[in-house]
Amino acid sequence: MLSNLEIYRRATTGEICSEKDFDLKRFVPAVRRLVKKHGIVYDRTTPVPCDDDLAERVWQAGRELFLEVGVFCTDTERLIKFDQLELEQALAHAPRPVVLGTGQHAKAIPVRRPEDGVLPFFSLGACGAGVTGDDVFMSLTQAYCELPYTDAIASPAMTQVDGMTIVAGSPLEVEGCVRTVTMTREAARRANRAGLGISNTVPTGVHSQGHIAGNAAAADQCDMMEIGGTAEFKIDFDSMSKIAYMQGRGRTILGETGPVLGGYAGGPEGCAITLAAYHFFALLVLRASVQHPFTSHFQTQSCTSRDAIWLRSVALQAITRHSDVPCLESGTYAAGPETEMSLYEAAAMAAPCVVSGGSVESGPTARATHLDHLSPMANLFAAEVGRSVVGMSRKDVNAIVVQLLDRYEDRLSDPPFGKRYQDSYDMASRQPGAEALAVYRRARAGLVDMGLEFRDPPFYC
Amino acid sequence: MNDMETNPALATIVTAFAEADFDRIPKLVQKGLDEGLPARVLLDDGLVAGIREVGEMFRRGEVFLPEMMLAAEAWQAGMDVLDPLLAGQPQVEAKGHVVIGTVKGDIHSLGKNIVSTMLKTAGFELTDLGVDVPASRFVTAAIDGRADIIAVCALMTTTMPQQKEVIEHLVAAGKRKDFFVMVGGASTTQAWADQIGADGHGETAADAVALAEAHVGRVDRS
Repeated sequence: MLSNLEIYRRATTGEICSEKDFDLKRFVPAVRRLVKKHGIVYDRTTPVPCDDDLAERVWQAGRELFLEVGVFCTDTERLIKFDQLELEQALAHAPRPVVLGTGQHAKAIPVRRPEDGVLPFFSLGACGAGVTGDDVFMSLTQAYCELPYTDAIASPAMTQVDGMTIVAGSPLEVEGCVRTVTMTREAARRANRAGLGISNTVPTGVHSQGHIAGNAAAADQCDMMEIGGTAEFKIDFDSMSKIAYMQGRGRTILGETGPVLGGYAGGPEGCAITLAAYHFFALLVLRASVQHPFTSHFQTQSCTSRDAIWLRSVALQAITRHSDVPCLESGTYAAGPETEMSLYEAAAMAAPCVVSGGSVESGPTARATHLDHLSPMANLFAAEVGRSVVGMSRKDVNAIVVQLLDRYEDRLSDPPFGKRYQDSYDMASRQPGAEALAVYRRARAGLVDMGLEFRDPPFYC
Repeated sequence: MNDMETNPALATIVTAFAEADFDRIPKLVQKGLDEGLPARVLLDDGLVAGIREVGEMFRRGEVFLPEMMLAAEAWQAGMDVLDPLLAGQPQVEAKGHVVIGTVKGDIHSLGKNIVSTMLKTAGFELTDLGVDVPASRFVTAAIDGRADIIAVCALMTTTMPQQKEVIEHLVAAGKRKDFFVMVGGASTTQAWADQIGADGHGETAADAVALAEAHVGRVDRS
């Protein structure tokens, strides 16, 4: 496979192109044309498609899209182009397997296919959503670590250091990144799971100095750092610097690939082929060992709208039918903690992911916009549902997802943001309050009514 | 009854916008001129009506950012045909002038571009400062450009504090009352806007346009 320095060479010698031309003359027309060429049509009646031919066409369109458009380097305003053989080599030569954690908590992220019988990997946590203080950070992160299905932890983002607001690019960003990793590790230790891997070490950071400092100071070989582009098929030197550091240390990169539904890629069809094409971006440009696919609807800021579920499902099927590089899918829920809606959204995130060949990184609640509006319960529920649909057909999961959508779809634009963690859980014991437990029981019963047979007994009684 | 309802050439332009047939726009404008339609009518009831239609479709979730951006390009291509004929005529008055950008330390452009394109198609004059914009640059651009509104975008929780910086720089320059400051971005909320003393918060791009229109007091009710 091409080296990261070869990517840098191309970024500094490739064809010159303005960003506007890249967006409007290369990317957008290619997406529109390839959607039409491959006959990819969104079907709102089937949010979890079970059409292998459709998945195949999305894969082919994605490959063609990446080959045709290439990648734009925003620092040099040049194109990074690839050829067919380089794509094949990337698929064949990507590093695997990926194991997170150490000792008794070491766990491999499995390669899964659509309708696979292998249990997925669960990265549970705040996925970079912000918390206000160290006390919330520690209690919440320990609570995530204590969930029975947590295979790796996805840290929250700190917003303050010693009462001072963290500003990107400032020294506080560096300190915040170091503390994020250190405190996540301590939270795992307190949960008697010291060897637990961290799936995204420094969500507090934006810039390379913070990411590198956090990883150098406190992360282990068994952790991953998430690195993404700046927008659809774009990369900058700052992200390339993070990659250079991680490659130089032989560490694992989680390749963030999240096209915005309604953004440059357009609607669900364009977004689906873009997400499939992003697999190659993750391997070749981000140097990822695990792809981190997700999408966010431009209006609801969630991954759980009907069209978002469709595109996530079909793109994931496209990728996992062809690649041995695992996908750890993520997504944000619109509703907040202690609402049934958030648990139904968690189910609607996890179930399509699992039957489409992915592993699950259950996302943050309350659109990740309201500080401290996070709940281990949503992550737990995603894992409980995700484990329960293993081996099920996409058709049967589609029937459940259609019923889930009936329960929350009309509230996505104006969702209930629920309660803060500290108002819903007891911070010391990390146990949910009575109201949160009642919501959990109702949501479990709701899923049973929809036809789901839970694999495991309820974690909360 | 306006010209668009009576003239098929104008209706065709609006339909081309609605059907995302953007390449045809300049040719259709030229065809309208060849048929004797005044340039001003082609502008108001063709190009402006067409791009407004795309804006409405975007609000309804029927089209997405690419269509908005391509519509803006098509609008400009149509204007290039009309410009020589409009010389000397009164200019189309913008609803207001907006200085927009993504704050220092934040390189995310998509949300800002959606708001920017929607404001443009809604009839605002835009000064887009791009991404990673220092607070002082928002202030100088707004003062120099005699802007009405400053729109400050931030995606990350750690870049949101830079929105507050913009307001503090305005206060330091003694210009806080001269501009309507609105903030937006995935991590922002109305509570945050209130906390830092912003004048408005847009949850969505459509909210941002509504805020801007309400501020300039020229809401299009047609």
